[in-house]
Amino acid sequence: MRQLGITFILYFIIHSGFSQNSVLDRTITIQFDSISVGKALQLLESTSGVSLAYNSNLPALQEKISLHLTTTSIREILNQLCTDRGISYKLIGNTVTFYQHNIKEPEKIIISGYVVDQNTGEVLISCSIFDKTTRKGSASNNFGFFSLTVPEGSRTIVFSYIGYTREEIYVNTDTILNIKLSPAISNLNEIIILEKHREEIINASEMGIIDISSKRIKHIPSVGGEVDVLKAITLLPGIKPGVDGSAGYYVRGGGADQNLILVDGIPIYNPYHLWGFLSSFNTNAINHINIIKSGFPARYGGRLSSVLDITMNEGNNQKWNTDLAIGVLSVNANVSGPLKKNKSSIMLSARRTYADLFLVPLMAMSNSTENTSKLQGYNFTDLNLKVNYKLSEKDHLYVSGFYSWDHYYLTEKATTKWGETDYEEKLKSKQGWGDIIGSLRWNHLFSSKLFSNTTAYLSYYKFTNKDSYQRTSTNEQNIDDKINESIYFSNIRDIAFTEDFQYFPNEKHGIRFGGGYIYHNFKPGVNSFFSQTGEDTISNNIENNLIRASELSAYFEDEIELGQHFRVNLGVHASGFLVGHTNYFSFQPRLSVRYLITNAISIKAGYSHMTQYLHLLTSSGIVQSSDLWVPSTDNIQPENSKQATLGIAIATGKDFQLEIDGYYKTMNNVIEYKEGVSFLHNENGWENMVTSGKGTAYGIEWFLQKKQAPLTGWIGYTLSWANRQFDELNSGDVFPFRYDRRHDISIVGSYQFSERWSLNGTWVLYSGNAVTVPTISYIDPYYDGQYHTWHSFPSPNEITTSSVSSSGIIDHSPKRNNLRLPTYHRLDLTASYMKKKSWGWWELTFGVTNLYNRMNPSYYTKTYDENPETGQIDIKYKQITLFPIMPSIFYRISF
Amino acid sequence: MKLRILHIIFTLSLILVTACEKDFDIDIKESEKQMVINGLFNQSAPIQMSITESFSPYVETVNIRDLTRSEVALFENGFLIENLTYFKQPDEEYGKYYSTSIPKQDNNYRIEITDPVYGRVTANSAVPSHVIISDSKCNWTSWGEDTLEVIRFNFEFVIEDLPEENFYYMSIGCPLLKPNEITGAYEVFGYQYAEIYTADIARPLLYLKNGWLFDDNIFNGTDYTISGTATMYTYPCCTYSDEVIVDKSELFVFLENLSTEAYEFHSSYAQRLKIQDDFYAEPGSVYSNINNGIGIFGGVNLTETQIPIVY
Repeated sequence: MRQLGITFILYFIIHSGFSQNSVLDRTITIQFDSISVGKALQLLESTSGVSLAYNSNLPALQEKISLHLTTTSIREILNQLCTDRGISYKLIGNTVTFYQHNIKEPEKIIISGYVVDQNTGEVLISCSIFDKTTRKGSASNNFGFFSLTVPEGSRTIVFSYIGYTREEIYVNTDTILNIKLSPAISNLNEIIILEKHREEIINASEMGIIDISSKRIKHIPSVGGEVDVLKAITLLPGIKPGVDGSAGYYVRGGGADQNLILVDGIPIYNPYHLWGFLSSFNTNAINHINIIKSGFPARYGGRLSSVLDITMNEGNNQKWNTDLAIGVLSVNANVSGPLKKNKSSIMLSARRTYADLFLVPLMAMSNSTENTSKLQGYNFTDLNLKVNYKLSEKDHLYVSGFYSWDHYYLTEKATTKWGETDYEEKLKSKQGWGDIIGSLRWNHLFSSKLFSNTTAYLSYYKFTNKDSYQRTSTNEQNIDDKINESIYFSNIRDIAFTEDFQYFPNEKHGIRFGGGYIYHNFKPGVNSFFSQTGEDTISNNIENNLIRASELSAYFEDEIELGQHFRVNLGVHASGFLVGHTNYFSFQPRLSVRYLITNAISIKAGYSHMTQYLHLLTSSGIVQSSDLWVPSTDNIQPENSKQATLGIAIATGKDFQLEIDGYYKTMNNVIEYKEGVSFLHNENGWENMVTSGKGTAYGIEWFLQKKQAPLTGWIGYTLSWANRQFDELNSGDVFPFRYDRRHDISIVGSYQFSERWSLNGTWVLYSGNAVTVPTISYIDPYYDGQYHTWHSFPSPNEITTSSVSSSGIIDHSPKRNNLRLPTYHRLDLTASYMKKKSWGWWELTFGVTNLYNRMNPSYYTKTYDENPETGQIDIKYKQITLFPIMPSIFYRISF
Repeated sequence: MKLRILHIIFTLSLILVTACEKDFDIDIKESEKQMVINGLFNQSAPIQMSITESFSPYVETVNIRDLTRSEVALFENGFLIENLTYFKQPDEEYGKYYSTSIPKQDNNYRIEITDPVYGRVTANSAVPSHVIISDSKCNWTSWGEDTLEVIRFNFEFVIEDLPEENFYYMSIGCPLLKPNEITGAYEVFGYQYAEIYTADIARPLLYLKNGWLFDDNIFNGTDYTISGTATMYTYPCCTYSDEVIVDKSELFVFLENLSTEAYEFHSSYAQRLKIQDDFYAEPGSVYSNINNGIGIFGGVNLTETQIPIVY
């Protein structure tokens, strides 16, 4: 009944507003740049020709304002000039007369509710909601909820979101709104709509935060045509990719382990398929992406360098919808629909590689001979399931599951004959890794000012590698029979509970507080060996102990409005990590400040202190799925960082947005493998393989966005430095971080020719990675001067016939990361054609990766090539290029 | 239309999966050359060392050059005891600098080299104390004779460890005999070393060719019993020439008490061997204690004990 009443009032207000027709309804374009209200009235009078009568000594007319109003009615302009200044106006004849009220503290009204997509019911995250008159604003949270407190009176509340038609709602009392925004009518408009509302970028207090919709990600060209979130974000300034074909990204000089990746609020340990080639997030199932590089709000913690907050779709609660897509690497399907309309929905998405289904048999046939056979293959699978149920207007329940698994396998068989004996040899290798996550979340709305989210989840990550060799003979004694087996695995199991509150006491504060508990179980690397030769058996199990740890956290943050110019986000994140005999605690202050110079320019500054209790052991050569997550222990301290940032945001008209950020970051207790160790040989325990050190990173980022169709996109440039210092590495001297890239340029563009055709391109250029290569060699100390004859060890006076060293030469690298690989640059293009049908639509995307076939280094390796003419050995380091020019095609259908 | 699209996708995926790897040379410049010292020594023989220079890792042919014009001064406990002399045996390709003094245990040694090209190069080390092996014994079993012969010794001995921190290298082997070319009598010319398995050595340890590198953390200053198995695999057909005999009636344990320098060198050397074909391994350097140069000058104290075999 109350909703009906509100609807009626809104209907009355809207229609009565539109039905008026006077001199005040004429529209003009006008601009006030930091002038008094009195001067603004003078300008308005001269521009519009409307006669204005007012006392120029009124105090309210002395306030300075800046407004840019395009094709706006005179009534609206007057409303904006008068509201909240205690002055009113009245049209008498053809003259507008102004008078001042008795000044009193205005009453407030609260507008709260949810913002969803009209067609699907999917929540719209970070939707910009603001009062058109006061420009006071808010944004919807990850569940689509918002709360906005504004002064009493008739208010026009604007809802603006990328790819959707802007909505304006008139309210004059406390109101609960469930806003349904309509997607923009044409595909063209999807691109036209700004990435983020101008007001929000200029006004937001947080720095280094970028919102990206899944629609935008889908327009960014990618390798093999596979749309990939984790590769797309590396086109943003300050975020650098690893080498081609590797996992991980690097934010402002931080390591790959310093990025917190959240899926619906739950951390993911390994978000990669295909040894890092692709992320395990199915883009079709993604609703929204938010990435934070600095000025971290206090609600986030646990990593030093960035937060990637991914929200998955909830499922279409209006009608059943199916998306099917096929690319050169995988097929995927996404099905969603209402279990109970407007009450409950389900979303299920699945993706799998399919190449192994036909390539493996083909390659097996081509690799087989009379005496040998080889079967080699790889596949990955990921599944997302999300079910939500609206228990009441105030309660919402979500159940979700995430499964990701990669599987590599190799089987080789050979039969040989040695003397009179026949042998059969069998070599098997299997590798697998992935995550399984299940979660339960409950939203409760205590009031229009207080929102809560409760989450409980289970998370399991596993990596396993199994190699075996078996030799059987026809020899009756079977003394040559041999079995060797080697198994390596590591896993992490987490059980967690978190509670988050969002409280909006008044229009000047937006408070968040909450806490969480994670119970970690780490099994960081187990090597199991079994060897049997004839009757001789050796079995060994080298195992790092199970490590149990408890991680606690609590936070409080407040977004505070201080007058018209200042906005501050102030908070603290406190955490503790209880492991072994050691308890670590950390108190992490966070601060972001925005100062609004004009409506189009703001200056921002921020400070963040971050602590990280988990570490990823990565080899310096390449980051990949076998990397090992380990906790802080009695011997390994938590990592921590301090980052200070200063930036400016400038909006120029509707078309361009420029952001310049400078940062300086220090990191302590970052860990690296010691020299000469490998994760494959962890028999001495992982803690003995690592060493702790320090890191510094600083730089400037430029981010220029163009937002007006038909050409949209951005140019990002980063000038940066990143160094490391470890007492046990590089003789204790400072050395460049492996991804210390001085220059990093990315250009992303999308041109919409028509509703059907679009062309998308990216071009990147960055300085080459720093790598360690030997630059001098010397003869092995055991070399005795005679070719292929060596002193045995340990008895210097004895001679044995076998060699101690395979080469007799020791290579030496005087400095760590002493070589820069060549500059990396690449152009990728895609062209998409979309056609609507009565049953839905289909889209075909053609793409070319590395259009001009630049041979960029992916990794490097030492080679010994024999010159066939001279017989001499040619020793060289070679860079391996994984991605020369490659065409791709991607077909998607939705119904 | 759809079939055509599927056909294109199929073809492109074949291209993507099978033809996307190319390699190219990286141009790497060589660092400045350095003097290279090879000078491991023990208490059983006079110090000798080679002095050469480093070379580019990327040359096709390595020409190792002796530095013959260096002046090498040897100091014992801070006192100059002699200048080493360069000498090249007629049948050897490279020469060495020889001393006449036999190093003594618990003494510190220092070399100071003056070279017209590389200037002044120095290094320090010491000969650690002698460690006694006692109460040794073993028995053995064997199986297989035709194609593979396996001999397993079950051994046990006591290390009389010293109070200070010690680093050890341990190997076990049987003598290899072959006839003297003149007299025809069988003589020891080397050892066949066994694969050692023991649970009595604590981590961290490293395996280096024929034995284990370890420290005395878990038994510092005590008499510590080490027991285990030492297994030798021999292919009678082809491991040695017909004239060579593995003397299975004698088993020797070689225990070296290593100076810190020798231990650091050997452990880094062993680590390098361990990971040399490992794609995932971190770059690592072999330890060097040469100031203004590279290489090793390190002392060891060797204990060689025959273990009585119980039949």
